[in-house]
Amino acid sequence: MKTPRFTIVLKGSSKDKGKLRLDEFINSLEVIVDALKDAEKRISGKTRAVIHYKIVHLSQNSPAKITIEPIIEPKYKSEVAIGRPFSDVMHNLRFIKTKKTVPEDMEYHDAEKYVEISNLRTTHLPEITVMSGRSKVKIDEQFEKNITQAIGEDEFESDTIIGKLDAINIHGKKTCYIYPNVGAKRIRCDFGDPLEEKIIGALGHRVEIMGRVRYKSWDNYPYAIDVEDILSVYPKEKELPPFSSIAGMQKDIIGGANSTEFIRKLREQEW
Amino acid sequence: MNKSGRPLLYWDSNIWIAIIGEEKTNPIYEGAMYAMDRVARGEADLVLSEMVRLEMFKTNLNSTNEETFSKVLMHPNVEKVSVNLKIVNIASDIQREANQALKGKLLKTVDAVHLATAIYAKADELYVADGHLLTLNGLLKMYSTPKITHPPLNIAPSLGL
Repeated sequence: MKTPRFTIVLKGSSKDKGKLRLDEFINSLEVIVDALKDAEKRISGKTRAVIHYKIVHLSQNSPAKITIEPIIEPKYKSEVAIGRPFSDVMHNLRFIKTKKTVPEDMEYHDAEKYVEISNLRTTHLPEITVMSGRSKVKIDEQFEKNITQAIGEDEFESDTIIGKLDAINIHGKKTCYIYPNVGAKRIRCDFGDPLEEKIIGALGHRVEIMGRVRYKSWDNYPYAIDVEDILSVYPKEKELPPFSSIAGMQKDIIGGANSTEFIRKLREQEW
Repeated sequence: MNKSGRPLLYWDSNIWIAIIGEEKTNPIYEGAMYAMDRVARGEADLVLSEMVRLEMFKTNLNSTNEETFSKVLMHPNVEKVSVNLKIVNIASDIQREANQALKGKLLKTVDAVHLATAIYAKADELYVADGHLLTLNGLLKMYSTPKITHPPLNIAPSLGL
């Protein structure tokens, strides 16, 4: 079977005679490879990417062209089809470019990768084209317009979020991430100085935090929260009563009534 | 399957009460205990709406047991979900759809919130005790709904275990 390939074409500005700036060249490759790794993690359901990419063609002539092929260690081969990240990223780029919306199953954090790709365009790098198989998508002004429209405005709500607190950054804009068991893969937490100590103390724990959550209208799950407080830092599992301790915990909980009828009556009367 | 790779269950409030009250005479009791064992052994994850806690306030649960209950809900494979705007939207959609499908019977708001939370969390199975939600199993088309069932005594083959 033919090894899948992915080609990135970076066109420098005419003012620079098509030549690229080094930092923009490196950043472009990093962002695109990051999108491929993210796609792989989404497909495999794993938290780490195991596919690496080797350069099989590199040409400096304007426009610069880089072609990559996936490589994977044999022990990981069963985890993910090596060509899938290419086809997934191409599908998503094409979908955004043609439908002016994001694929239905895409979460905001996944969509953010495509915003980053769109943002690679600068006055010195006005056009990027990616190709794989027979598919080709130009990242241009139209793509930028479409993804801006697709992402849309934020919606806000006061809410609580539960999950494991991790990935703290206290340099510059203070952020950490919450990893819930259900819903969004992760939720970015923005917090101010007064909460720094409390957040650091909760690192690695499951926590319940409250604040103003941010959604996109097309996504069911929040992507960020402006943290107002940590309501609770959950103890380690071994410090909790066993889950089975609820069994027969209080035999008179509804005074000998039937629980099915009790709840039905409650819902019929009160709602 | 949940992100953990384990099946994700949702229990209606009466399942919780049957377990806590050791309601052996209730036909769903044995299934409920089996479901509890699966969660306790870490074979399944569990999600619940804060609505369960609100309904629990209507019982005689004393403060000591209420504290134990709150702590049990902190287990890593258990997750509480608040009744947020998205869940309200889902509940409102399914209430409209269900009321058409049920021909005259009305889906109660709290029933809709429980089902909406299970849908929101992408639960695999929603365990119920009475027939109100049970009649909706496989009936709703607007959202991908979990299997709505009495708590089974054996692991359902659909969970692939």
